[in-house]
Amino acid sequence: MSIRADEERPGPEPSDGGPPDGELVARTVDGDLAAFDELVNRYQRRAVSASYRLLGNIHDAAEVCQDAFLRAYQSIGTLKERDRFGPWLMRIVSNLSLNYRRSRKAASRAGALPIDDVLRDDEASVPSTVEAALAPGGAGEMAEVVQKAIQELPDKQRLALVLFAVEGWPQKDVAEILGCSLEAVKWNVFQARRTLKLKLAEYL
Amino acid sequence: MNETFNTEWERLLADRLDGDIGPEQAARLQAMLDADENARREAADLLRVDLAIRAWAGRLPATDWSAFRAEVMTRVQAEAARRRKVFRVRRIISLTAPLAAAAALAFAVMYYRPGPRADRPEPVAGLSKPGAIHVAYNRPARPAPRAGAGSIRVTFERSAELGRKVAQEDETARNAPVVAVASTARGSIAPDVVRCLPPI
Repeated sequence: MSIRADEERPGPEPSDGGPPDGELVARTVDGDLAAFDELVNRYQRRAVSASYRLLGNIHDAAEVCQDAFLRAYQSIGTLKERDRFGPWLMRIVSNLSLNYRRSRKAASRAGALPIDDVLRDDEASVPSTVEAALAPGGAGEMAEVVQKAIQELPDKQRLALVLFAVEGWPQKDVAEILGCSLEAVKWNVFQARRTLKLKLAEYL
Repeated sequence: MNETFNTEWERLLADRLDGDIGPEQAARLQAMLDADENARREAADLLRVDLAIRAWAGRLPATDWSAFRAEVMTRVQAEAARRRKVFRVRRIISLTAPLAAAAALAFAVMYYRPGPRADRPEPVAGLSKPGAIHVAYNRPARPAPRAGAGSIRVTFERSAELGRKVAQEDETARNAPVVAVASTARGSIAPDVVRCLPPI
C-alpha cells in the first residue's frame, strides 16, 4: 500500500445509494465476494482512520485493518443484526488495534523488536514529523502533541474519544463497539477531554 | 470505576461538547457557568481542547485505497478458496461416511468370528468349523463291558460340558473313559477335564 505525503480527511461515510449493509452481508454469507468487496470499499476509510488514531502509525493501522476485514469475512455468518455491520466491524478493528498496541509495547519493553521495527515504531510515535516540517505556522507541532497526548489516554477513554469525537460515530454505536452504556461513553469522552486539557495546558 | 457524572453542570457541559443539548438545557448550563467562575474556566478550556482535537482529526496520511482494498480482497479470496476446499472435503466425508459405516457393519456381520476370550477356546488347527465337536473313537467291537475298554477322544472348542454330553450320549461309549481335549484360549489342553465319566 502506498502512502502519499499529502493529507486527507477521513471524510464522511460514502452515501453511494447502494444496497444497505444488511443486504451486502446476506450476499456475502451466500458466497458473493463482490458484496464483501463493496463492504470493504464502504468502511475501509473509517476503519483505517480509527485504527490510525489508536496506533499512531498508518502502516500498522493498514495492517491491522486488513486483518480485521479478513476476520470479519471469516465470522460474518455469526453476525445476527446484519444491518449493524459497521459497529461490528469497528469493534473488531478496535480490539485488534488495542491488542496490536499492547503487543507492540510488550515487545518494545522486552527489547524483542528488530531494529527496523524499532525505527519504524519511533517513526510511528511521531507520525507527523515530516508533516510537522511541512505544516505552516506550527500546526504540525500541535498535531504531534495532540497525537502523543491521545496515545497516553487510558484505553477506554481513547477509544471513546477517537470513535465519537474524532471519527464521528454516534454514541449509541460507540456504546455497542465498547460494550458499555451510553452514559459510560459520554463520561469517558468527557474524562478524555479533561485529561487532554491537562496535557495540552501549555498549548491552549 | 463509577462512570457517571458527579455534578449536573458537568453532565450538561458534556452534552454541550457532544452537540447533544437542547435550548432549555443550554440555558441552564449558561446560568450555572455564569454563577461559577471555575466552571466557566473549565468549560472554556474544554472547548479549546475540543477544537484542537477537531483540527488534529483532519490529519490522516493519504492512502491508496484501491491498493488497500485489493490487498484485503486478495486475502479474502484466498480464505474463500480454503473454505471451499474444506467444504468439499466435509461434503465428501458427510456423503461417504454413512456408506463406509454401513459397509463396515455389513462386513463385520458377514465375517465376524468371536475373538479369543478366557472362557472361549481358540480354534484348533485342522478343525474347519469353529464350535464343532470332533469325536474320535477308539471303540471296542461291542459296547464296552468295563471301564478302560476302548476310549473316546472328544475335541471340542466351545464347551467342555458339551463335550462330555456328547460322550455320554454315545451309547457305544458307555463306561469308556472320555478324554476330553479342550482347546482353550490359553492354548493348552486343560488336564482337569480329562477324566473317566461314570456310567450313564
